[in-house]
Amino acid sequence: MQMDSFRAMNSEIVLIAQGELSQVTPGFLAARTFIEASERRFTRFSEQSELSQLNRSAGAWLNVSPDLFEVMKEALVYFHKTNGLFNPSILPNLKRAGYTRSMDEIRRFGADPQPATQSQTFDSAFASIQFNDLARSILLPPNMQIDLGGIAKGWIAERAARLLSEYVPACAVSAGGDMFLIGYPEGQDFWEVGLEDPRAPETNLSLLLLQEGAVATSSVVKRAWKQGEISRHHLIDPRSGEPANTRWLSVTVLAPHAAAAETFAKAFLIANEDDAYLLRLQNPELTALAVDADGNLVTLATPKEIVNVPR
Amino acid sequence: MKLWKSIIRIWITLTSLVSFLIGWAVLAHSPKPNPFKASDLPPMPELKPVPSLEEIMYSGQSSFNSIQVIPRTVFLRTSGS
Repeated sequence: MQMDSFRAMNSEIVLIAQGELSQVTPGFLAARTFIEASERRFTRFSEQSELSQLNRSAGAWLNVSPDLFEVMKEALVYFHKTNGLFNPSILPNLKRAGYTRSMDEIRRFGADPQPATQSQTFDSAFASIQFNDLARSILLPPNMQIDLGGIAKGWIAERAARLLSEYVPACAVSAGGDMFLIGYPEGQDFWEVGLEDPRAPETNLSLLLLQEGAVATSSVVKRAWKQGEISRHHLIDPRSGEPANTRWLSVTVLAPHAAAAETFAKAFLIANEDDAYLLRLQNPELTALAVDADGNLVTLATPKEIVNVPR
Repeated sequence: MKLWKSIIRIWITLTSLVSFLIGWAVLAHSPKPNPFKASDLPPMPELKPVPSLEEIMYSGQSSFNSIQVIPRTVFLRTSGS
């Protein structure tokens, strides 16, 4: 197994590949180039990014790249599939909660204070976004601001893994712990993935033996900060417009695609009991594991994989 | 008054006797219960032996998670974003 790691999208990117060095090296280079180019396209922290351009053009049609068009369409699909719990149009609330610059900068310089404006809610506004397939253009409703954070990261990880798999028989791409797995390590028919204990990041709560596909974790402790005296995190509940008040520290979802894993991890974390029940009924193929404040690992949706807990 | 008491006593005695005889006759002519036969009982289901805890845990059909220590280095970790 060959491994490469670097920093992008404010996350640790890990590339793992099985194969000859002559295949792995160009594969890693292709994956890294794709990830860095995609970061420049999807970041909201750069005025030059295509996403920032889309946000500035709210209220008017904008021709966009195939990649942004695809991610935005997926975002709308998962907005509906999660019954609105995943909603990328919460960017104004995210900024109001102090997430105005990258997490690396917030950790270094602290968060902006809360403005005097009231928080807005965006229950269904995202559904009114329009697409023109022929012109490959998007119309955001006036004043709508989009943050593609998690779904873009998952989409990039899956695309990079598929790109890498053109060079090697088995590979994995992890973007800040959200990953996509193709093939299997030599001599195994599963991937070993540690599930980080959100209370003690240096330890694993369990070891997941996973099949090919995507795994993503949403956590209220990973991207968290203080806004004055108030503790904040980046998972906004679109119904309240505030950082979600949830009983879980983290939720991990296994799914066939990264966008599904990302969005349902967020949705299950925000969901109350009734919402989670509905999500389970509507999406029986998902596996979702949650960790509560006491470190208990709770199955929220049907587990297909075996969970091994090292003690 | 004495005669009246005697009449009542005789009436009570006669009605008791007649009621007893009627009851006797009804029971004597009622259908008899069937005698008990063990072969008339419905067949009992055959119970499988109770599986051990290990069999339940490793059968793949239970809600138990298989727990074991794997002393290996983990390259990949999912941690939350």
